[in-house]
Amino acid sequence: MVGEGVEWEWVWEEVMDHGSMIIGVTGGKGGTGKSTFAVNISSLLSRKYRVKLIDADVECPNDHILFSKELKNEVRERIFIPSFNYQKCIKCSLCQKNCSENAIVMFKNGYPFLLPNLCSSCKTCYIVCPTKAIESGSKFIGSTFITEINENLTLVTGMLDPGQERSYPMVLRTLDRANEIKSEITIIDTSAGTGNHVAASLMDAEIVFAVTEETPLGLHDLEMIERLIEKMDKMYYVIVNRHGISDINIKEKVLGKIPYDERIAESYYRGIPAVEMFKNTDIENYFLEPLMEVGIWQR
Amino acid sequence: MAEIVVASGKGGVGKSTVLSSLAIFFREKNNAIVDGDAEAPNLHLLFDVEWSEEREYRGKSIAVIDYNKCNLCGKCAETCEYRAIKLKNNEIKILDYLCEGCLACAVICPERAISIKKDVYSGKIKIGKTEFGPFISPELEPGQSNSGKLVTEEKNIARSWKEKGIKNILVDSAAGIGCQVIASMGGSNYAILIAEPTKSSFSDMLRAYELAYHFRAKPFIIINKHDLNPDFDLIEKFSKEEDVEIIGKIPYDKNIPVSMAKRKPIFMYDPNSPSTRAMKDFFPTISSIFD
Amino acid sequence: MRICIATSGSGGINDFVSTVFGRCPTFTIVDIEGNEIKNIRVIQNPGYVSGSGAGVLAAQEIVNEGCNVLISGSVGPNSYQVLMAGHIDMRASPPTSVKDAINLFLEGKLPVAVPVHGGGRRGMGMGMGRGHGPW
Repeated sequence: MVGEGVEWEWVWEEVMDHGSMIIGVTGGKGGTGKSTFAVNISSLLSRKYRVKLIDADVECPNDHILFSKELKNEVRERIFIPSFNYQKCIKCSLCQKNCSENAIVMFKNGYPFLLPNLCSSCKTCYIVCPTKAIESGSKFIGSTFITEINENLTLVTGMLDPGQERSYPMVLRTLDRANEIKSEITIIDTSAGTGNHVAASLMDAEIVFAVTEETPLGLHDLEMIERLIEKMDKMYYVIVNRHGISDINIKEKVLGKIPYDERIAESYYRGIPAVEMFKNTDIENYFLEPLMEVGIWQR
Repeated sequence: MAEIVVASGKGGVGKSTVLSSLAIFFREKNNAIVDGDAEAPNLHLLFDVEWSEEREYRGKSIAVIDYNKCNLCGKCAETCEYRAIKLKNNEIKILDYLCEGCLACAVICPERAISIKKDVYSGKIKIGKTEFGPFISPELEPGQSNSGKLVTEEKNIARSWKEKGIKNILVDSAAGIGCQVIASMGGSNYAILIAEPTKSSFSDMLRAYELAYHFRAKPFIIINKHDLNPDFDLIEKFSKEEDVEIIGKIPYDKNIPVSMAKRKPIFMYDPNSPSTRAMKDFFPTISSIFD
Repeated sequence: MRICIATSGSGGINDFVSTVFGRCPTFTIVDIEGNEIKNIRVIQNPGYVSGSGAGVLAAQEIVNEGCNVLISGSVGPNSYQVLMAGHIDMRASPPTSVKDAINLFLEGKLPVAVPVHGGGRRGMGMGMGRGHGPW
């Protein structure tokens, strides 16, 4: 099908640069099987390589549940918010005027104050303050976790606190935390959607798998995520999940089709990756084939 | 006016199926239908929408470099909290799909080479008619940050239809618990939470429940595909402990993807399919939440 | 006493009270001397065209205009915080005319406005014009 020729060699050259390969798993629509795919290929690849799986779906991280693991090694993550030193403040109002989120309030002749929930943590106020009256404060936005799945596979999870609107900074914290772990292959499982938090998750990916289902809804959202990936100039392939649930049959960029199979559903309920629960069966092949196709497996 | 939001945390567990069914079953209640997923808006595919209006949405600001002034010092790239500026091989580039449009790079630049372009086109809101009420759908360009604002905008349009006789707003929220979902929940009176009997769906529903609780939207639960994992009792336990009513259970129905492929809500496609029958049975118990 | 009314059109004594605060187009500001309405002024709401934090901008403007009372259909959570800090007496009004709203206020018939989604369990982020009132 695909995977031969120049395009692929180019990726390997990039990979040689930093000694590891980064795979993104995304899809646009929710519930198409991103996590199922990510968990299964991680599990497979960990038989041969040192793998880290990053669960960057910080709004609803689930990968640990699919491994039946409790999250471990929690670190509370913070982002910058300004802290005003009123002894130094000269009420010039530059911070207020330059705040693109209007998170800084200043009344006539008053000192500035912050509405922390509006602050996007961009640090513009901090930079622009002529008297260094703005100091670095912080607020919590969520937690990151590092959980060992097996001796070759480590899961890094980001979890946004409910009520926090900005998942983007949380994604960045998660990617940073993942730097603690050395690996030969990194797999990044993104959230649903096509916003810049998804783009942030895929920033460093060298190859992207877009997991979709063959319904008009899945296809519509696939088109949107393809636009994003193309904008980012990434190499990508489509993985069809639950193939056979409708008579739609997509072909373009498709690297593999995982049929609708009750065994996969069962493994999902039980919290065991399908490739482990049904080792050495045709199930394994569903996930192995796309990896072979692009040469990741046989490297 | 009652605002009813359908949410789940996890994607793909049946929000659109339930919402389309509610819209059809309660068609006499003067509902406006709002797709609250600006990043992946696909509810309109299930309805035969007759579009009548498009409103441009210019909610994005992005930083732009004047390359005549830039001396490639790289301070902007170091400063950008969103890592949206890349300096590589003497080339500097702002990645618009990551840029949040704050002013940090513009104020740090010693050459004043960066300015912020405001009101950049970032999507549109489409308004139309269906036989079950007016329909509002968003469409955001990929790689945007302000999806929540677009959703709020849509809801405000629906709210303004009060004088035109709209009595209820049905909102299909996005997956997750981020700004789009917060925008969908904010101001809602009722939150219908959909969960499948799996640990991951349950865990995500809990996160959506926290939001509903925060926004004082009265929560109800619907269990979808309940027969696929009948031993799973965490949702029932949660319902008893937190006193959140499970209003109904929907069985697995292989006709749903088929009906979707035909671009019809299951409620229309097959009035006798197991899921439709189940919903018809329990929907009357929530008719009082509609105005 | 200076009253600001969030207005839904071009402002003025015959315009109507807006159902929203942060994103209403205009503010009609009046001074009350005795029980008489004096000095009717209309200002543009800077929040109307603002991308984010509309309520915050709008509320700052009201405080800086030296108002004591705000009459609006509703007040969002962020605006509420700022208006509280500025010691503004916030009143909720149905979408009636400015004149009627002022009279209702003077008769003591307008209830104190409450932020629609204020005070949660964890100090969650809100805003985005999500405040909407009882009317």
